[in-house]
Amino acid sequence: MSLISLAFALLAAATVLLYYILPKRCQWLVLLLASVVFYATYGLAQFIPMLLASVAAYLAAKWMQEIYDAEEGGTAAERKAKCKSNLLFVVAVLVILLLYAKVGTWVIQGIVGLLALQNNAIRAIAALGVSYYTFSLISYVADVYWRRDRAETNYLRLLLFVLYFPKILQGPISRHKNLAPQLTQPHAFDYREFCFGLQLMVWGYFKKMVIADRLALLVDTVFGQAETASGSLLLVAACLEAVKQYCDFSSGIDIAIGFSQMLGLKLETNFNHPFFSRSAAEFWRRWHITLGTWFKDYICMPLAVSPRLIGLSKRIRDRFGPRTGKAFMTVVPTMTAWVLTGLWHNTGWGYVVWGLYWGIVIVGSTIFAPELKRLTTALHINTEAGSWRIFQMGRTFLLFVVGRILTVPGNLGMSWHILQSIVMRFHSENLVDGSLYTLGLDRPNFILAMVCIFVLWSVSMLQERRSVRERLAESNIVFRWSAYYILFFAIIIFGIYGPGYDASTFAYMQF
Amino acid sequence: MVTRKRCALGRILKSILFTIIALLLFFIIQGIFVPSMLSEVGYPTAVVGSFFALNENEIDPQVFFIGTSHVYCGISPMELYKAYGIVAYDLGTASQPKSGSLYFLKEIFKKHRPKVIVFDVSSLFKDFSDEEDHSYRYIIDNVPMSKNKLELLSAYAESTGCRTDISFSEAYLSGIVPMFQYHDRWDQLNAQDFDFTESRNHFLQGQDMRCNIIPALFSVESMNENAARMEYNTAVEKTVYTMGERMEESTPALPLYQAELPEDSLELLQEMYRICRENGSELLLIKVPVSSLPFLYGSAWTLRRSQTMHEAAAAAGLDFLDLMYDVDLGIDWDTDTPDGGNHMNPFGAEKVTAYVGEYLKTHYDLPAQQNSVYDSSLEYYEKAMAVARFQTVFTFSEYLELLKEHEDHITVLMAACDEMSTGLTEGDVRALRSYGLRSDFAGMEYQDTFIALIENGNVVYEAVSNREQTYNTKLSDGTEINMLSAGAYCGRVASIQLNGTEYSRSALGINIVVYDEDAQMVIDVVTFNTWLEEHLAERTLGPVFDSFDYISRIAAG
Repeated sequence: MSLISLAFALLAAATVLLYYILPKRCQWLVLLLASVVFYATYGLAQFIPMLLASVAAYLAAKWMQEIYDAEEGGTAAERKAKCKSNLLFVVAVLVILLLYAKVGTWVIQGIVGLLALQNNAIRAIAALGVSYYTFSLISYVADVYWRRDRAETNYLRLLLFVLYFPKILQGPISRHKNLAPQLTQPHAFDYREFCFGLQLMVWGYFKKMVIADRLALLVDTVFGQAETASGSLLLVAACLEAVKQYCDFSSGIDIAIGFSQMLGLKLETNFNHPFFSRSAAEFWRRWHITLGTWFKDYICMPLAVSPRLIGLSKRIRDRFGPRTGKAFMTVVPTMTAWVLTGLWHNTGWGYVVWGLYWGIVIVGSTIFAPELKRLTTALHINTEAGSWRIFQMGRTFLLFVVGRILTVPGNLGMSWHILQSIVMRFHSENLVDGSLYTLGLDRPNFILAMVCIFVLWSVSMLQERRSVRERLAESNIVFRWSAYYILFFAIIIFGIYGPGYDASTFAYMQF
Repeated sequence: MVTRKRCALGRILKSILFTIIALLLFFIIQGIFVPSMLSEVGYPTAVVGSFFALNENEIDPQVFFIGTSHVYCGISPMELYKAYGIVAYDLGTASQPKSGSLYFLKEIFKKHRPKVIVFDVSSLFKDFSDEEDHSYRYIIDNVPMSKNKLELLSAYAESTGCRTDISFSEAYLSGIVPMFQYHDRWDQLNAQDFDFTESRNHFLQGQDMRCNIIPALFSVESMNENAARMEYNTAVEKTVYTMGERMEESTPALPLYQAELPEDSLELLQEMYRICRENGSELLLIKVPVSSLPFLYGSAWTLRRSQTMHEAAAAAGLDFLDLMYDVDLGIDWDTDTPDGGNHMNPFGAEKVTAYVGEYLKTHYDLPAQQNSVYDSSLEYYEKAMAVARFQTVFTFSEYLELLKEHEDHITVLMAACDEMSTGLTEGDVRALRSYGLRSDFAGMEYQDTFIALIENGNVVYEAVSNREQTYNTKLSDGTEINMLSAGAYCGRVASIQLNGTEYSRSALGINIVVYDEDAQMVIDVVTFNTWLEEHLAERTLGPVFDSFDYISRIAAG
């Protein structure tokens, strides 16, 4: 069941209706039932890995909680030590599950090939949303281990946290201590929150159906002809692909957050206008925020406080000087986190290189920050000027575009070919000779896409200062309703949907 | 407490109002986006809607015709009314699917009690809806929601699912909410789509007058020979190589031309017969003449189909009247068809209708009726037919006589292109003189230019010259005229523009544009190549005169 389908609209409407009509103590059961129905539409087999993961996490967390809560059982350090093996075991189970979902089919088919069996149809059981729920569960058991959170006593409540349907497919990666209490608390109908949530959902649909799916027509066509396309067209397609990716991913999050808001629930923010970032590090603090904070909290921080690493860092500092020792403490956790981030997105060398690319960019900008500052001072660059900020935003955007080129074509050879074409075979005349309008988007649709991107940019600019929904709520009724109608009918008229068009796939659903 | 309740009530009312406005806007926008013209056949969609606008107290037809485009081109309800006083209505639609015919039959009996239902059997053999979307869309986009429509939607969704990758639910949904199908027309919208004043009153009672002439490309004999060859081709021979070994197999396939009645067609006939009987109506099966190669047109009507249909009708106890092979209607395949033999033009329809009227009168005892709506429509129909007859006149002198007959409501614009004098006969010159032109046609030199404007029979301007010449003026209704005539050395052109739109064919000889002042539209564009001695009228293949537009304009006054 896609978030863009009549079935989802009906499920969402029925959920909202039952949620507010039934007694408040039943609200979480309504959500659980809706989530099970939603997930079941992708096939009952999907439940096997999800149930395995959630039961393992439930039992492990419960056991750890019992150790911590027991009146006798030794000192805090002893209890923590008892729990550690338990934590490591369940994390291993979850990671294996994640690996199984990512590379299981390859492994099985490799074995089938080795044994010279004829059955190529054997596949690993698909596990929809596995990247999201395993990370949520790892954070859950780790937080219980570190005593930042308490274990669930009711498995069904943990199941709801895992399976909560607006976020199961593409996040955000919620933390148990933030979301679970909200899911089980009663919520009274709040008109303002309901309207705000609905507005956010509609905005999400606009970004997905009008912008992302429209740009996808051009992007897919150009990258499909990447071997022969000129550099100028590839550059345009790569830039639009970056915008498309943002609209696609953030729209799914907007729909999830908006729907939750209608129910009185607050999901974590996952995007904060990333294209306004002035550096790579800032970009990743604004893009897929919950993934970034997850890696920071559960990979970087544990590594940074690891006694072994600290010891190694001290030895390096003693031998090569304090700056090198400090750099070592930056490089190891950051590069580890970035390679893992790449592999979280997908397996394959392209994603390893992608992770290394971002790791190097971020580590490089951190380590060489003093030199860069000296350079800007020497060149008399006013780093507070608007033009410098715009340059920085453009530079960050281009870094992101290059990152996309590393992964979108599917193999590194083609990525290299695209980068070469952009530099060596630019053919700028293709930008004005009409070639652009023959690649999946005709002239009116291309112009429309540009207008919509401008609207998106304008709204983002306004949002940087203050919530647009709050501004609208304070404006007069004619303006406010007109804005709602324009947005709604823009989706109806300009949305890419209809008979024969498969609008069901969000880019981040595959994780 | 009271304030909170008031606040809540206010919000509920606001939400309801917001939703109502949204729905209103949605239906208005949907009305704009649903095509107002069936582009595949150039047929306005308001026609099918006009059936649902019929007031049964004003019009309760004695006869309904249903079927494909053969019906709405080949049967003229106004002719039936004029000659026999029979009040009839055409419910034919382009490539009407079998389920569409059944739908209309059921809808007819909701409000009307016709004595006879006449069904053209074309779709029983060749249902174009298996291949085309518009045959269904034309109906479902323009008819109100009902149980019958939902049944039709099921058939549509099933048919769509069989020939495309569109799912049943998607196709079904697109029938209920057409915006789902048409929203991406935003870059194709034109002024016509925003015209909400388009009349649903179809003065021709369902007939489509295609007033041009394109002679049949093939004879009836050729059609039957071609069908026989295509019907014979019922097997596909395959040569398959398995591990280098040559294997041959012959697999049965459907013949390229189907002369047998499919099972569901027989079921449809039985169902139609049952519905008619339950409602006290008679069902008459007919076949409007068609002459085309089956290779080119799947609805070509051959002797084999005729025989099959006769046998099936006899077995079912139904009347079948084959207007192609059972009787000689005097169809002239050179002049009575607008598209090479696939359909009838109004002149062919006159002949078909005359026979059908006589048959209905004789076999079904239909009393002549007087109907005020049909009386007023008849006036428009006759005017339209009179104008349509311009297409049937080919000789220069006869054409000038026809122009004289209609001089009270037309303006004639003439411009020579390149050379017009060599082939002018004495008779032609006499006809020109008789029409009121005074130029020295007999004394014209080779490649002299000529321009004339005759408004309501009065020659407003005429000039012969040995140079390029132009004439610009305004007609009494304000229409701006720009004319140009040029010989071989200055462009070889004859331009006749009305309000900036070019109408002239700009072909060698005398180019004529006829403008109707009542309808304020061009009703004929013709060239007589008077450089040659034999100079019959030459026209463009497409229709110049749009009867829908013409009648709407004269009805609007």
